[in-house]
Amino acid sequence: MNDLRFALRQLRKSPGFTLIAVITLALGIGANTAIFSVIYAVLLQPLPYPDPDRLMIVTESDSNQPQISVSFPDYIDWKRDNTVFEQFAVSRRESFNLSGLENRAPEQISGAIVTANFFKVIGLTPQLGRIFTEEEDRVGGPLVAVISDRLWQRLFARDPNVLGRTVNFGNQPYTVIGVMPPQMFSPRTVEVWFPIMRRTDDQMWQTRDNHPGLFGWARLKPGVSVEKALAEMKQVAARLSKQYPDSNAGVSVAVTPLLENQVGDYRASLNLLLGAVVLVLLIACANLANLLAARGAARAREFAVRAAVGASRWQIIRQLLIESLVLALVGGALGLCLAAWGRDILVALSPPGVPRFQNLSLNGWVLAFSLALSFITSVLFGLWPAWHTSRADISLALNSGGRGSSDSAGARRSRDLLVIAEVALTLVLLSAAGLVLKSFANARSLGLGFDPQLLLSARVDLPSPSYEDATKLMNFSAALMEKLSALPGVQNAALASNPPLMTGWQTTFLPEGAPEPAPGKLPSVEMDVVTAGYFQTIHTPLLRGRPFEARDTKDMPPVIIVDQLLAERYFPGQEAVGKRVRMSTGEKARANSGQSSESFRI
Amino acid sequence: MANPIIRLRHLERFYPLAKGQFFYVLRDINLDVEEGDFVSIMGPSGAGKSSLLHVLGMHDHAWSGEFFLDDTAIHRLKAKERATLRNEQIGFVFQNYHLLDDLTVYENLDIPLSYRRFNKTERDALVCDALDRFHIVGKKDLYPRQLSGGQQQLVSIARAMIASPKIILADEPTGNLHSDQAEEIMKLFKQLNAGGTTIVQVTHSEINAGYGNRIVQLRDGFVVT
Repeated sequence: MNDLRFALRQLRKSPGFTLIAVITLALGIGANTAIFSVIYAVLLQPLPYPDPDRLMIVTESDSNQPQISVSFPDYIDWKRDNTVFEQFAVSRRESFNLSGLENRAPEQISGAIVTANFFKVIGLTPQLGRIFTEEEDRVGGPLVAVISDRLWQRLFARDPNVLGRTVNFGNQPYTVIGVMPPQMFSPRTVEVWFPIMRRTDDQMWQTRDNHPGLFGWARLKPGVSVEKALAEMKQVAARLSKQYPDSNAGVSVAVTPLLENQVGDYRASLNLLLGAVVLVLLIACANLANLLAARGAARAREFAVRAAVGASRWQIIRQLLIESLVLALVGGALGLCLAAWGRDILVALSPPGVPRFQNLSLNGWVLAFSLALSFITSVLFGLWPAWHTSRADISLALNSGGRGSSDSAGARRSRDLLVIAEVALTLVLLSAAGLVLKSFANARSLGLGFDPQLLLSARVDLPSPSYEDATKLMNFSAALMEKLSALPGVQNAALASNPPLMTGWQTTFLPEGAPEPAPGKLPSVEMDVVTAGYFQTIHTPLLRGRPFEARDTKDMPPVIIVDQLLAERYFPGQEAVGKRVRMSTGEKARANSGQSSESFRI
Repeated sequence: MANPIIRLRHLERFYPLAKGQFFYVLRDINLDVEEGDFVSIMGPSGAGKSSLLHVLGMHDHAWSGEFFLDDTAIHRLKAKERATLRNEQIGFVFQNYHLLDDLTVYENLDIPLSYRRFNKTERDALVCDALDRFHIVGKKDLYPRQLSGGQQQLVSIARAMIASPKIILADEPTGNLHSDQAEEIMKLFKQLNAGGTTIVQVTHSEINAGYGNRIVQLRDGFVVT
């Protein structure tokens, strides 16, 4: 208690030093606290589901891709043959046009079709109503929907009588049977869930080499590890590979914890960020250690007197560490305030799409981190000066004229080393920052293969029952193109299955004349279906051949356009235009159209 | 007859110089101090008086030879053991008082006790006793800068005495005081000595030396009388 009182008195006595030290620490600890709060919110915070560590994402994989969507027949076999999962579900994300609500314009809603046991995998029960049953989840089953808390709030103002209400999703009348609790966020951003089995009479779904965007969700049985689950699922997949070599050769399985699946991509970036702010804090600590060492030298007489009247070395170190701790705690408290004030700024600056960033909060863990960091910091910057001060020669200090310094050559050398360490850390930080900026500049200068200036994109989802007929689809596309092109200010317009840089469909192909590879070893490429005028619209120049034209209809020989990377890889030193490739559909297409300027999907 | 409370044999203190040379501040010191003695160490500046006192006070460990304190061979002890023994047996009074500026009189007296594992109640009792004994109760909440030189030295002596040491080592305790205050302080030392405390003081003053029962003369690091 005495040490604390004396420490406070000492700090009050030197307000300038105290202010500088506290501000330095506040900035260092505040930056670390802020970044840790992001790391906690994004990476560490447990999922808001019961036993979240048992939740897994299960996908297919092959030598080219670590994760591929699951084929429906494979899912059925996996579900039947595994012994490691308590529940095993699949989902597919879809967008639905919501309409038919009074005084409300139609809008697009992010939804998912899921198996009935999906909610059992997640482990949450509805806050209102019920989920759909296995009996409802079948071909010809009733049109029922479970909505999210957010949608309940937005569409129905939390009306408890929402159950039984009919809402049009994709021009079909669905009955709302349940409302999930607010913490339900799987699959991400989804606001409505429908039974999936209604779709399974589609022949394509029953094809084993078709992967219709399904992802597996599984809950491990108690006591089963991820490794064990993966090992068993790999055995199941290997069996299927043997049984169905045409579709499943080389196809394996990936089992990833749900949390890792959601946030794993952000781990490296956030750790890099944390590394940077830790370096900043270390620099601050080196700076403060130097200040404290100089202060310790100036206070040599005080500590010599303390030693002369009985203080042990540890008691002197303790006194100095308590002073450092008081500084660190005050700095930490101020840093916490800075982190709290900076929270909204961080959220506003957060890159789009980072999951859970919006959950950023200064909770108990963040407070504990900040407190622990203050303790560690106090030791980091306080211990070395305290150690040196406690080693001072008593008789020298007491004989040196009362108030002088007894700073030894060794202590001065050590302080010089601290300055060197500080400069070195600063250089590391600056170099890292420079490299990051350089990478950013490189990324900015990278040719995209298209010109994003003045290019707008919009997504249109057509309800499948109404637009399953290809003629209707073509008519809609033609009408949309006509209206878009007629808009004032629109220079070009086109339709594509996916916008540039977005993952599209994957398909296997083989250049004509190439040796037939082993089953499952066919090359795989990204594919987009586009309308005539697409390349003019996105300003991608054709290197060779011609663009798609209005005459390239289904009645004409099928044609494709390949990108430069594919042409160089599969037709090295040859003219790719005019070559023929076999697509996975079995059709032969004549690659007579040309190449784009970059290795992007066209 | 009991052994002397302090026994020095062939004690030397030197500083290394360049090229393997040494500068000796104390040379072949052989000295006995009996329990209850009041010894004054005298000599010209640079004779090694303060150095000897710091060796006796175990503030300085860079010496050679033999040093016995109450039959304990100090030269064989580690620094930590010496510190423990010092805390138990020795009180130190400095010419510059060396009170801690940021602590009140009360706290300055409390500090040595706080380093010796007395509990709060015991410490309060001992501090109050010392304040009373040295007639400084009225000054207990003042800071050193608010006291005269004589008052500061009084507090310094009270601090040295508070843990009831057997020996007081005083390095020119009246060096910064005018004659009236010096006389008061020396009378106080005499009184403490009469109470059984062994006192070793460094002084330039023949008058102050006269309060003791024995004078040791140092010259160029040697004991000459």
